[in-house]
Amino acid sequence: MFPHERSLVEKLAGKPFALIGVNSDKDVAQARAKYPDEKITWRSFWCGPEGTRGPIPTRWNVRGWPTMYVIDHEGVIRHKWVGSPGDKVLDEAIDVLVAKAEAAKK
Amino acid sequence: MGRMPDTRILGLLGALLLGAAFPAQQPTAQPPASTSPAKQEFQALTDGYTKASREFAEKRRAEADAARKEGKPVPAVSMAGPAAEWLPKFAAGAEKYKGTDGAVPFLVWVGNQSRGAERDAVLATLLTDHMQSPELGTALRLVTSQLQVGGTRAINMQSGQPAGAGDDGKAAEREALVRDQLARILAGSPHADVKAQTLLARANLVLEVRSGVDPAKKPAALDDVRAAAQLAVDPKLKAQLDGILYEQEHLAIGSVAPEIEGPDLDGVSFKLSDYRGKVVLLDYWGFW
Repeated sequence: MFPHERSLVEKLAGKPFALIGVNSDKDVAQARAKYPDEKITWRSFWCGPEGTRGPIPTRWNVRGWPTMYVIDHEGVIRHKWVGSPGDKVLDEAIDVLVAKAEAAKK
Repeated sequence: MGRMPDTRILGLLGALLLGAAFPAQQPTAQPPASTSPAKQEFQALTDGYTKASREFAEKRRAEADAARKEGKPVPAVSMAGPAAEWLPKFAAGAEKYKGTDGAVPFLVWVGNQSRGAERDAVLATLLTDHMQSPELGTALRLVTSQLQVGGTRAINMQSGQPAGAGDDGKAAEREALVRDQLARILAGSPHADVKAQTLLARANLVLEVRSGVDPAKKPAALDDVRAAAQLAVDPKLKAQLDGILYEQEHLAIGSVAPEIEGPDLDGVSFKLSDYRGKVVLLDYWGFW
C-alpha cells in the first residue's frame, strides 16, 4: 500500500487533500526510524503503546487493519473501507471529493 | 455421509467466522481451577482437535511443497480438516452429559460441524433442554448460520443483492425461522448476557449484511444493540456493544467525523480538524 499512498500524496500535492495516518505500531521509535526508507512523508497519529488496542482505534471501533475513511472538506465521512478497496476505487473516490473541495473554495 | 465434504468446509469456515463475528461469545471468564468434569473433557477434546487440525494442515502444505519442488501438479489445498473423524467423539460427550448443561459445548461443536436434519436436531435440543444454560450464547452462531446456503450467505454473491424471488422464497422463510428462534431465547433465557448476545445476533441480521444495511430496518437493529448494551453484564461484551453503537451513530457514512487529537510519531500533538477544508484519507495502518 505504501507505494500507492506515496503516489497519491505526490499526485495531489498543492490540492486540498491530506493523507493522515493512524499508526498502531507499539514501538514508536522503531516505526519512526522506518520513515526515511519507506519514504513516508505524511503525518500520523500514534495509537500509543497498546497499538491496535489503543484509545483511537478503540474509539473508532477499528477491527480490521488497514481501515480507511475518506472525509470530505466539511469533515463529513464519505467513504469507509475495512481493507483496501483497490487503488482505482480509492483514487476515484478521492478525486471526486477533491474537485468538490476546490469548487467550494471558489 | 454423502455431504461430509460440505460439512467439513463449513466447519472450518465456521470456526474462523465464530471468532470474527462473535468474539464476546467465547467463554468470557477463564474456567476456575476446579472446573467441572464436562468442561475439562470438552477442553481436552478441543485441544486434541486443534492439534490434529494443525498437523493436517502442515501435512497438506508439505505435500504441496514437495509436489512443487518435483515439478508435479500441485493439488488444491483442501479445506476439509479432520472434523469428520472427531465428530463422533464430541457427539459422545453430548450424549454422556445429556440433560445437563455440561452437554452444551459438545452440542454446539457438533452443530457447527453439521448441516440439514442433523443440525436441526442439535438446535432443537439446545433450545428445549438448555434454555437455562448461561452458555447458550455460544449457540447463536449455529442459529444464525441457518441463513447460509451451501456455505455462503443467502445473498446473490454476484450482485451483492439479497436473494429474492429467484430463491423460491426460502430466504425469507429461513430468516423467519432464525428470528423465531432468537425470540424464543430472548423470552426463555434467564441470563442477561445471553439476552444481550441474542439481541446483538438479531441486530447483526440487519447490520452485517454484505449488500449494505437496509435503512428501513436499521432503527430497530440499533434499538436492539442499545437494549443489549443496557443488559450486558460482562465488561468485554458491554465494550463490544458500546463500540458497535458508537460506530453506527458517529462513524457512519454521512456523519461528521469525530475529532482525533493526539501526538504524531515525533510526539507533536495535532488534530484531525486542523485539516478541515481538505479532503482527508484517514488511514489506520502500521508496519507491524
